[in-house]
Amino acid sequence: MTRVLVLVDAPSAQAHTADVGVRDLSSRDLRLLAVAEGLGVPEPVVVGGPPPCFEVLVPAVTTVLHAADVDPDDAAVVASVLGDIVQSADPGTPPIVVLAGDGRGREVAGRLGAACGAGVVADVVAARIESDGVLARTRALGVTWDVDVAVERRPVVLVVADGGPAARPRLHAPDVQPQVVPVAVTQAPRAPRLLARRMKNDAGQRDIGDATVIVAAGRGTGGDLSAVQDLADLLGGAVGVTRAVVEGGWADREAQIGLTGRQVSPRLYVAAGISGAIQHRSGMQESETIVAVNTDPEAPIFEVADIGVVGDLFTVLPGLADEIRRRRTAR
Amino acid sequence: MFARIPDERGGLRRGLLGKDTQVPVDVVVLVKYVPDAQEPRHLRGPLLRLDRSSSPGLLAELDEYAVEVALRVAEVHGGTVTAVTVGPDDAVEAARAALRLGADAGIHVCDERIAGSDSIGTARVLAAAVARLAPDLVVTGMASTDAATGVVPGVLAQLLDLPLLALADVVEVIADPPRVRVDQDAGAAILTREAELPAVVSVTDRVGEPRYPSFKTIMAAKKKPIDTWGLDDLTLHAPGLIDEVGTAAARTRVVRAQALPPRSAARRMVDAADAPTVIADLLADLELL
Repeated sequence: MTRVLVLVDAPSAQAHTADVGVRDLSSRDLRLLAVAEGLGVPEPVVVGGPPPCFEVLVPAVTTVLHAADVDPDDAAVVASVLGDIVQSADPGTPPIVVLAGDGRGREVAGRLGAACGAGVVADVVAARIESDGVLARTRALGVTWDVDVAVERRPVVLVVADGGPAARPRLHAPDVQPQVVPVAVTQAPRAPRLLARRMKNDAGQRDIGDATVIVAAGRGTGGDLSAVQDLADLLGGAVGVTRAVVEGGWADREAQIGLTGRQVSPRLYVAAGISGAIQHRSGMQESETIVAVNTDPEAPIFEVADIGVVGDLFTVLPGLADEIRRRRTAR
Repeated sequence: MFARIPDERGGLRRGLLGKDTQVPVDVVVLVKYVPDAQEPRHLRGPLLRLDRSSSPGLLAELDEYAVEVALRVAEVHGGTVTAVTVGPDDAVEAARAALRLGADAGIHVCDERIAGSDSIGTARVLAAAVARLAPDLVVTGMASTDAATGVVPGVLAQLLDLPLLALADVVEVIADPPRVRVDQDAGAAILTREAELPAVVSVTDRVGEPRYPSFKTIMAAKKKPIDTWGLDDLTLHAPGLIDEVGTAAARTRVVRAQALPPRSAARRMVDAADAPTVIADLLADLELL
């Protein structure tokens, strides 16, 4: 059986309490585990912190690898940890490594590609074993092409796409707790030093990658996100923004959706004052349902919208919020 | 005139002035010539490669930010900027575009044996060119706008045994001792990290607005050198490189490619007056009300 090393964050503290939940693994980590599950036995690798506690995980998981005393943000060290595991594995069946598509994941992928001669595939949405290698389905060219990439021999490193249809691993409580195996660490010689870590003010806001509903603001809001925020709050959703809104200094980059931001696929995406440039569409067009509000009837966002409203978002959004409140009160 | 000093949100802060600025910092910036992302792009041919002939290419938009950072570092610290690109004949246009923005020299690595390399193989060629140039700082964009695997900086750092500061929103070079300090967005927190030079930095599109070429830099670019190197010019700095590039060495192979159909949207247009009712009905159907 193929070992599939999956670099995940430790489950958050809530996972240790009575109200156990896989919800405490981020949607991104669940996506990684879903891809891994299609390839073999997922072996979560957790870097830093106390020994992780996976109370609920993929049924097949029997082993969790833990490298303590490592800064999880230091990709050079994380890559050396994973590289050591790959190099020391049974040469007959080298493991497959599954990584997230964030900065750390891509740096680790590049380093493993160079250090272990691994075949690296990025923007993977699904993968399966094929003879001795892997066949990976990817999203290419700004999510406009569906491309299958073959890696004929291992080791293989897969960088998983953020967006796309929400993949979920098969999860239930394991019969036995997975065994946590400590992993030795070889310090990377030339790692950057961490000088400061400043928490953002909006830390604790809902992550747009986990949101069921996203209400997104574009240039048409002129930086006034109050109506967008109100509707998002009402629907238990998150606020997303376009690059123009980030560049205007009206929102944090973490909420940016598109080619240079996040790729999302919520159940409902409400685009407010967004024209729909191709760079933005590539980050949201795999949403299940899209509603667009824009004053310009020619805006390209309407080409991908299920419901399009030509109108002023500052009238339409509050009107919708009132209607939602009215119906909820009437129930 | 064009060296805009950025605001607090991003960009290169002027580091320590005075005697520290006397230590020159030589910068290599990696640039790529790509098809325009605004035009339809196609994967074609037996090897399903990106068709680069259907529309004129340009310097990848995200590389403009890397060039900007490289120029600002050189302006503050008095070093040179060399733009390096890998690719077939017309890829040299990426280096030329960097010269028009103010880079001092260009290197175009061009060799038939490189064709068919995967992203790791191409990055090995770039690493060899950087090894030959031996700069103080290597700057790259956050990803190319075509293949966009984003793995090149990691390959470079690993092969050259250099620290990598990835996806920097702010870059500052400090002369004494020579080091580079960046701010990175790590979701809930902003990390400030620092590494001694030489180092590799990849920059985001938040690092400061790229400049436009000026008449002066456009005219000056015509006289600036672009050297063309083949693989044989790099083997001294990367023994074995020839066996690690090209179609035969590629570890990944595209076996099927299909343009995704446009999103099958209902495209129902409703009047603004009816919108609250129609959208609330939709929310009810989706059980989101």
